[in-house]
Formats: sequence, C-alpha cells, structure tokens
Amino acid sequence: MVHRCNIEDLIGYLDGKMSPDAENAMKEHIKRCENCKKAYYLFSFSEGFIKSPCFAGNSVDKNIMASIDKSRYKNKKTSLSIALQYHRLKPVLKLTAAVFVLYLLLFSVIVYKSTLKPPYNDKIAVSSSSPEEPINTNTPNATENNIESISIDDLRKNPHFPADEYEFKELTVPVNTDKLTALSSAKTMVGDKSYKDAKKITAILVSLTNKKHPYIAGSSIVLKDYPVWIVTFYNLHLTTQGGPKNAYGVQEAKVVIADTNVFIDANTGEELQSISYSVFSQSDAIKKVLELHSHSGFPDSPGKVSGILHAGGKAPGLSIPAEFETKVEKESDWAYTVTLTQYWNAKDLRGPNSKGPVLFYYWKYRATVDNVVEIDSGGDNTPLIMK
Amino acid sequence: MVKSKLDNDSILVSNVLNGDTDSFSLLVSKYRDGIYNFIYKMTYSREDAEDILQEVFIRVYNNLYKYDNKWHFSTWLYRIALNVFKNHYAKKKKQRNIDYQKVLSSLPDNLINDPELVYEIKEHNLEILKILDSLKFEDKTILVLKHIQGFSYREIAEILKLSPENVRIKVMRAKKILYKKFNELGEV
Repeated sequence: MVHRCNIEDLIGYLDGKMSPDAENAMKEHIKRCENCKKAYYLFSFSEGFIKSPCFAGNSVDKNIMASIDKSRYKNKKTSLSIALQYHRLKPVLKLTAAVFVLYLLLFSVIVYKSTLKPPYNDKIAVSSSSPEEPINTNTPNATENNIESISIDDLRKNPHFPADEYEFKELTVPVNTDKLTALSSAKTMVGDKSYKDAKKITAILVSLTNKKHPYIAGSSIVLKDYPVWIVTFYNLHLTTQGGPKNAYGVQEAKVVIADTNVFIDANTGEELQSISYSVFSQSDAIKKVLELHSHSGFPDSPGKVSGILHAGGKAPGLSIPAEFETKVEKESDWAYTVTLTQYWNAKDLRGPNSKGPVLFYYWKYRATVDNVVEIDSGGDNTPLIMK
Repeated sequence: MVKSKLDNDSILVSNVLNGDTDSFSLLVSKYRDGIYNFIYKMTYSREDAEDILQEVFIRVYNNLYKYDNKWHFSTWLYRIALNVFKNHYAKKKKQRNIDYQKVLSSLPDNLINDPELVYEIKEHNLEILKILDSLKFEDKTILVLKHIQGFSYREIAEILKLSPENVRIKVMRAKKILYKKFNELGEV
C-alpha cells in the first residue's frame, strides 16, 4: 500500500472511512510524517472543540416559558386557530380547489357545446374527446405482469434501509391484500406519470420493523413486525424540494433520478410511508472515486485515454506519454468496483533510444452511496505515482 | 429522505398545538443544550448564545403550527436556529469582540482522538480557534453542523436545503480551507 501526504486520505482516516488495512497504514504514516501529524492535530482539535459539550444556564427554560404567549394555541376562536386549521387542512383544501376547478371547466365545456348549433356541434363531438371520458386514456392498468421479483436479501443489502433502522423478515401469516391491490395503491400515491415512467417496478411482501421511527403519522400503527407490501418504482425523474430558500439565500430545486419505495399496509391496502432516494449510477461511482482520491487524467466513464504522466525528477520534472484507463464492475445497484490503471513505456524514462516494456500501476476502489474504500493497488514502480 | 412518521416530538408538537404548554417545556428541555452548543460554537459568546437560544424557541413556538411532521423536528429546529443566528450575525458582525483565550480555557483537556498521534503544538490551539472563527459563514456552519451532533450528510442537507452530495463536497472544501489557513500561519 503506497502512502502519500494526501489531505483527503487524512480526512477519510479521521472520519473512519478506511478499510482496516488502509487505516493501519495511514496511522503508521502519520506517526512518521510531521506534516500529517500537524494536519491530524488541526482536524482532531477542531472536531474536539466543536463536539465539546457546553450547557445553557438553568434560567433559560424559565425565561423561554415566561416569554411565550401561553394562550396562543388555547383559544380556538383566534385568527391563529384559523391559520392552524388552514395548515392542517391545506392538502384537503388544495384537492377540493382542484376538483372545483375541474368541474367548472367541465361545466363550461358542456354549456359551450350546448350553445352551438349543428353541424358544428357534431364536428366538435367527432374531433375532440368527450369531456365525460377519462382525461388520460393512455394510462396502463396495473397488472401483475408489470411487477418484477425482489428478495428480502436485496432489501437488506440496500444501504438506504440501514440494518440499525429497518428489519425485514419473511411473512408467515396470511394477509388481506394481494400484490395487484398493493400496486394499485402505490400507483395512486406516485401518480400515473411516475407509474408510466418507471424503468421497472418491484413488489415484495415482508414483515417490517422500523427500530428508529416505528410510528406512522396520523395513525396508531406501530411498525414492529408489521405486514407490508414494499412497492418500488425505479429511475423516476423527481424534482427535489423547492419552496423556501436555503440558509444561504439560494433556492434549490433540480430534477434527480431516484427510486421511490411505497410501503403499503398488507391488510388494509393503505399507504403507510414513501421513501425516495437518488439512484447511485456507474457514472456517480466513477466521479466519487476521482473526486475523493484526487486522481487526474483518468476518463470519467469506462475507457482509455492518452495523457501525460509527470514522472518526477528535478524541476520542472520529467513528463512522459501515458495512457489512463477506467474500468467499472457493478456489484449491486449501490456498489461498484472502480479500477484505475495508468500505463507508460519504460523506454520513455530511460531516453529516446532505449527499449522497454509497457509498465502499469493500478488502484482498485469499492464505491458505495456512502463511501469509497481502496481495496487494492499495485503494479510497477514509477518515479511518481500520479495522483 | 422524506419520511412520514409520528415520533415523540410529533406527539409533543401536537399537544402544544392543542394548548398544552407543558409539552413545549419538554421540547425546550430536550433540545436547548444541543441548540445552545451549536450557537455557542458559531458565536464563541455565551451571552449571545443565550439571547439567540431564547429567540429561537420563541420563534419555534410562534411558528409551530407550520411544522410539517414529514420532516425531522430536530432538523426543522436547527434550520430556525440557523436563520435566527444569521439575522443576529448580520447585525453584530462588525461589533464582535471575542475573548479567544476565555473560550480556550473553558475547553476540556482531552480533545484529541488518538493521543498516540498527538503533535505537541498546543500553543497553537488559540490560532486554530481563531482560524475556525475566521472561516466564511457557509464553511463554518457546515463544519459545526457536521460535528456538533453527529448529523449525517442527509440531515445536514435537510437543514440547509441542499443535496447530501452537495453537503459532502462542501464539508470537504471547508476542511481544505481550514488546512490551508493553518499552513499559512507559516512558522507553525
């Protein structure tokens, strides 16, 4: 394992994101390297300072409670109470308004049609769809043919369902809702567009426990060994939360490719929760490796490109032609093995008239949604590993 | 990640909205030290931190009916704390008079993770505190949030309304700036 003074490696070491071997090697390196010792001290002290506990004075609670308007939420007839009710009923009001506008439009079309005399009335009937028909007749119906299989192990491997929060077990008791009903409920939740756009859909019946957040808003359901259908819609184009500006005054809103998981109560068929997360693609994995480990010259998609390898020596240093190759193997939807290899010719180091074999050096990383770990590196020695 | 859940905080919020101020007192007790610590590490001033803390909870109480329980209550609370702090910071930016030595003397001795790797530059602790305080608002905020409560990138993203990946990049950038400024001290 080669070790250099790399600030990102050091930060990764402090964050505990290295493999045990890399961690030991890094620790030995820090012991020997004065620069890294200083940097280690800087980050360690800064983190320790930020983490160090300090407590508010005892009078703070009293002052806060004395400063609030205790009657604010007690008097049901205040204007605030109306605002509160408005916030609570906001989703229902939005739906009601949408239905009202729809009916208004429908009514207008009917009235407009009735005022036309034949033959115009007939023409309209022929050339446009009747307002009594469903608005979108192209929406496919949910059928079991649309659903692919997934195993409980697949769920357990999904880093978005961490083991310290989610527990999935085989369901051994019969339930009242079949796969098709679950899919229909999930489809209602994600909408027709997402249903049509999904690259694939999976559904699985499990006994679910949520160890950290077992309660469901607005119901008495506790997610402990609870029978649920998990219906997953893959590769949806979702817009991230817009609305209020962020802490720096910038409004964040962008389209991301994401998977949406809808948890359906396996007995009532009602939606319990929905969880969406961005998809971790091959391209994301490569970018993460290149960014985190500051490799330069390598292509950000699988393939080989030509470039220049700075081979050390006295300033300005020797630069020789080289090739940089990026390879990716997919382990799962959330993990990729990325191998970066650089090739150069030994003769370029010895002079124009010399001959030599093609040499290489490689780094192999395992990239997941959460981190990147170097799992192997090696090859021929080069005066300077370009990193 | 957006979650629909009804945890203890949501129950307490619901109680407050039904007129039970004791439940608000419980929320204050639960979060006051965390928020206080966050503000103190941003201001380096206990007096300012207590003033801001009080304002945060009054604002939380007055706006509690706007809280949507699909978000974690703690991240909503920290977002409000950050907004209150921003207003305060904008007003007092030029009038700050920080006693860094006092801040340093209030710290425990064992701040370093691995004593085996300690490099004896304790005399530079004061400089490190000053460098941290001199970081740009965005860099300082993201470093403090990263370490203060062990927030995940996803939780910080909820507070700052950014993507988790964006947060990860900004944390790395802030640490590099910290390192650069530290090296610029020259004789260190």
